[in-house]
Amino acid sequence: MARSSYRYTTTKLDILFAFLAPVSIFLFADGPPKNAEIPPVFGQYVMAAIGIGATLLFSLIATKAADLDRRCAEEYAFQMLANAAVIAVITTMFTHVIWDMSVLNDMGLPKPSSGQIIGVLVLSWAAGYAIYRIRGIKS
Amino acid sequence: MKNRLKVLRAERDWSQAELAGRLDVSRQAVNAIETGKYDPSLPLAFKIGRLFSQPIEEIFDDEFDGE
Repeated sequence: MARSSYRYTTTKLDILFAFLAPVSIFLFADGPPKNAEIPPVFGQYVMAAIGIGATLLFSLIATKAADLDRRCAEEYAFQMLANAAVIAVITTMFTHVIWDMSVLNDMGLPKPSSGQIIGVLVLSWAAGYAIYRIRGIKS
Repeated sequence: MKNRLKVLRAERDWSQAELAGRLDVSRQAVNAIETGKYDPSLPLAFKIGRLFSQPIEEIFDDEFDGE
């Protein structure tokens, strides 16, 4: 019952995180929240339609991503993903707390924008994945 | 945890990909086990034992000296 092909691979995850890490830099480049009043371009119904459309689009993307997860659902890949996610959450929490400290804001560091926080999350998840991929997962 | 997976695989002239296919895991997982970067779960260890027709302790050594 020899099988020449194999279902699981972490190659797609390697590519995904290699792509996500540079993307996070663009998120970091997102400036501080802008207080300038932006005049509404679209009416509320058009905005609602855009919101629904965007939600459906992201749902399709998430479905595709979940399909990728299922293909990589073997324990080795899953453990790396989960461990890296824990690293990402902890790193994001600490970074946010430190970045948001008023003493730093008084020194001229602007408060982090939502894009920058997501950048921290994505970069730390990618970094965590890379670390576990290179170092390994030892129980 | 040390193991004899690479030796057992070489004895059968299997590639990492071939062994991965037989175990239903990724080639990277086989490589990680062989290089000691990843300790397999108990079900996977049993699966490896069954595949090579050897008890788990003959394949894996947890370096426990009993003290």
